[in-house]
Amino acid sequence: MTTSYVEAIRRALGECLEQDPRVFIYGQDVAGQFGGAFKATKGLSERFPGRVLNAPISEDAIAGVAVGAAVDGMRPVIEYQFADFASIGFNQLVNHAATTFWRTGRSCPLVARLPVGGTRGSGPFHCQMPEAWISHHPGLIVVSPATVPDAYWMLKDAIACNDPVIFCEHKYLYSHLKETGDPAQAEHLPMGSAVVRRAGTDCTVISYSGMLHECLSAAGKLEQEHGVSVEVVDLRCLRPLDTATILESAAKTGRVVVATEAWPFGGIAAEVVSVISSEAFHLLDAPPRRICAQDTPIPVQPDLYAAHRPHADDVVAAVLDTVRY
Amino acid sequence: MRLPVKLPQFGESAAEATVMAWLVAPGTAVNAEQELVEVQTEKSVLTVAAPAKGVLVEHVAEPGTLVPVGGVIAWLEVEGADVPAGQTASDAPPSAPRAATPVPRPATKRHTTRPTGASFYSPRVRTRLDENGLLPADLAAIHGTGEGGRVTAEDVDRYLSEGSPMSPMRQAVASSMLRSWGRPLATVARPVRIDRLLTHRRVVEGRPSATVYCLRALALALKDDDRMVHRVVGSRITRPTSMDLGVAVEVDDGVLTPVIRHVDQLDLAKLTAAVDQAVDNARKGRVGDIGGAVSTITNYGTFGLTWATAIPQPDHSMILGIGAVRYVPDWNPAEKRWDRAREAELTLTFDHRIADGGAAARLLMRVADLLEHPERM
Amino acid sequence: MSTHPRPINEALAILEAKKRFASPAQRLEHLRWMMRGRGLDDRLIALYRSSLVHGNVFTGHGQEALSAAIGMFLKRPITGTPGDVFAPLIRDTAGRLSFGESFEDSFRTYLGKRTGPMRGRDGNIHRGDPTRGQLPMISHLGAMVAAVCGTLLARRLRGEPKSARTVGVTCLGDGGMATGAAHEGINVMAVEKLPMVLVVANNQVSYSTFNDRSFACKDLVSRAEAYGMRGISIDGTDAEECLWAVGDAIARARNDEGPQMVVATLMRLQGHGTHDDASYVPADLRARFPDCLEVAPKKMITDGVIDQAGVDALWSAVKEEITQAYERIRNEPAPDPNDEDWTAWSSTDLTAFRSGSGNSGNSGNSGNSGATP
Repeated sequence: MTTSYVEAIRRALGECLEQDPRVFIYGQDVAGQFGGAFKATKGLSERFPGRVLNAPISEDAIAGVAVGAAVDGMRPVIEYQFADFASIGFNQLVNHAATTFWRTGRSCPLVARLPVGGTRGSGPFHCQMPEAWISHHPGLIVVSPATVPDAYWMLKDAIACNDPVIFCEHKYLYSHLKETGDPAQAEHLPMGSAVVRRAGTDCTVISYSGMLHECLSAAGKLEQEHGVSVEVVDLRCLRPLDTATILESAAKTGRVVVATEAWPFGGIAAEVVSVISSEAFHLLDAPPRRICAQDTPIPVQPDLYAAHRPHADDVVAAVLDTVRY
Repeated sequence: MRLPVKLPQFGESAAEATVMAWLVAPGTAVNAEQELVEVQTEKSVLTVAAPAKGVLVEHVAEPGTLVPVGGVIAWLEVEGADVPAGQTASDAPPSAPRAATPVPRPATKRHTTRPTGASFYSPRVRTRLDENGLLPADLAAIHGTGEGGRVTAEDVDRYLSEGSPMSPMRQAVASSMLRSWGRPLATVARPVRIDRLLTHRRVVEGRPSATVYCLRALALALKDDDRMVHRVVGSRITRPTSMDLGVAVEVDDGVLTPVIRHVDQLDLAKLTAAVDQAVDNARKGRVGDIGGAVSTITNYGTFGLTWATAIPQPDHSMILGIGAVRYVPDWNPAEKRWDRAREAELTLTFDHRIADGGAAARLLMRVADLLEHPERM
Repeated sequence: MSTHPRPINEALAILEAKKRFASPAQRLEHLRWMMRGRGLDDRLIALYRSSLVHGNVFTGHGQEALSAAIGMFLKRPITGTPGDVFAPLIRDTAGRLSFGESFEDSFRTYLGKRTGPMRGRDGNIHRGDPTRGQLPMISHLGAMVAAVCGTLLARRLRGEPKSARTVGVTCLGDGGMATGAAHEGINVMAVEKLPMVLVVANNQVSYSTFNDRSFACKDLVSRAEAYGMRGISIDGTDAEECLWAVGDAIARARNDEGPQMVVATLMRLQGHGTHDDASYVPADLRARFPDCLEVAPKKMITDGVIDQAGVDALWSAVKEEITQAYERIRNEPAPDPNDEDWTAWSSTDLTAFRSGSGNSGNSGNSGNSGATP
């Protein structure tokens, strides 16, 4: 049996709707036969009538409704059609959902699903990685599954969690990532844990989401063609960061490259590098490095698009540079 | 030439599509952009069109086949002139990877030199050195295999795995001496005639050794002026409360310094018995009463040494040493002849923060004076 | 005085509404809430001037008639039954009180007491106890519309019976009606046909900006029809009109007649906040609007509902209530910064959290079960 990333998400949603009457889905185009722009909710409104509702194009109200419902005891799962549009709901997420527990003592257990990441030809407003600006405000949890089992388990965890969770699902992985086996039988890691996907000794590469797969590919090349043993860490949870796992790997190898699809300024990569520089300075053989996208909006034309984002070869080059420092 | 007809990327995230129905049979001439086949993605039914004018020579994927995006579904035979421009180029993977690493604009030239080579120790290597108590002086001995001869953490580990472990005794002495050495130590010396001492000892119970006489002499000399055994603690001075002195005893792999309490109150006979007992215990490994001494006596003369700059214990400000006895010529002015005398060198190594040469010299003078007039002890 | 004439069937409906919602007893109760709102606001201004308050004070002078009516017709929660939900805005001092907020909690919040509903973490009008149906507003105007929609949707999804229909109310001003969030929220309110009332107070000025720079339609009530809901335009300085119009709107919402908008025309009688002297408000604009707390007692005396001695007695009683409430809380403690865990999440250790494993990894509130007292 193979399950795709989006199938895992759909399955998790269905199971949560079935097991917990507090759960409902609210977003654009999620209901009916259409079942979502990426089909993540296909079939669910039929199975659970009245609990999968189409919203108007109102990203602010979608999140505001979720806050009001969550504070009253429900577990809303809202879907933004593209992460890029979540910026319209930014205020409700960071100023309302994120501050509710701290201000009132009452938690706000909503989940906002954001399709993140680039696909060729989609351009500046359909490719963004919003983790940086959505993580900055305290009070939100931000997670980013890179594998099929994580897409399944982390969504169930997010819905069960009492805090507001921003669930960043990589849209390229939806149908391109398939894994054999039943995701429900795969290891269920804690939601807040980072994990070592590949053990190594010479250099640590830290990544998340779609970029993780480029890093694993780079690690293979580095081993075979250059004899360099790379340890690859999948962050999984971006806010809060699992600093213990990050530091453990930095201590082990003494060299770190952080590779992300996002822009460089103030991003998750910057945060990871900051943590390592201050907490693991005495364990480093080389300065920690970041590999990020070019610092411009995301282009449409395929050659420009390809040159805008990091690839496995960029990771290889950065690792080689780092081990030779 | 034969041109492949490939399944295009429909929508952002579709990865594959199912071929539904061919609209054109093999062998049919087609125009550019003419619809060739119907395919179904998850979202909808779409058509694939011919990329150029030519003849559809072959269906590759039959109806019902699931084809990945970019997969070949048919072949088109095309005249040279009809081959679309850039056709093959757009299929090629992106050209040479560019540096996606953001390069900060250099503000000044200051930081352009990167430390490399054997003189660079990374933070990780420094931590390794600290953890293992290595000193900068030790680093010169480590061979670096890193870039430009850099010492790596692995080099340090390899270096540390050579040799055999130090015994606990040796580690203790090494640590103690290293801590002591952190002070400005100076040594002064003077010879002492010991003929009369050697005669005197025959009539004292237990036949005290030179070490015993030195202990007694030092204790009495310090009673007059004990500044040489004051101690510096930060910017304060501590003073001794009782005249306890230690004796350096060589044992397996190191030195023990058992302490004799209230040396000023013990006569030579009692002192001899106490020292004998202490030395005996030390040699048997029974450490006994240590700590609290204000100074130590070391008799390196027993090893044949005439002179030594002993190092006081870290908690002592001075150490008194006595060297081997030698015959020296002694001019007898009354008889106008050369006699001989027996002489040994006394050395005093002291913490120059607590006292200066003059005080050290005066202490030595008092000690020597007592040793040369043993009946006063 | 109404701003436009009404057709005859509407006039009859108004008479009916007055009987149901503006009886003499209700008018007396309304007056008491209005006085309490004014009294509390005046006391807060005094505290501000004595530098006892943290931050600015925002008052509802001039809007008491409109606001007090809201709380009177909403159901407070009682054991076992969640009540209605109210997201008050900046000038709803009177409405908060009539919905059940205590004087003490207002004082506690302004004084930054640890014992208040916001525990010193938020202040002034950003306050409310969600377990009692009071949603604490955030500064971004319009945001609370969707939040109230969300709570009502939650009650609907949980299948509350028609006999126990929850009604939600929130307020907006002439300025707040311009935000995108307001538009999205009102649209959702209408599309979902929620049992909700939007009370719009056009108090002529939004900080220093007058109506002609905030909107271009003749009357904000025209938006009600545009959105697909019933709207009514009233004189916000007329206490009796506020009472029956708000009571009627809430009753209709509760009766499944769909969302309602009540647009009241009145005047902001103070500055935007105590830090603002409103010197930019022209005197002739100000002069066009009476103070509801001067008009209402006079009208009620004329209507024989109360006499002057009764009015004076009400004021005295209200002042005494407020003074005692302040005395009760004035020495309560402030939060201790050394006692803070400085975490914004209720979850304590996400590296140990898995769904379905029995451990929630969460501290604090163990999940909401609906607003219950």
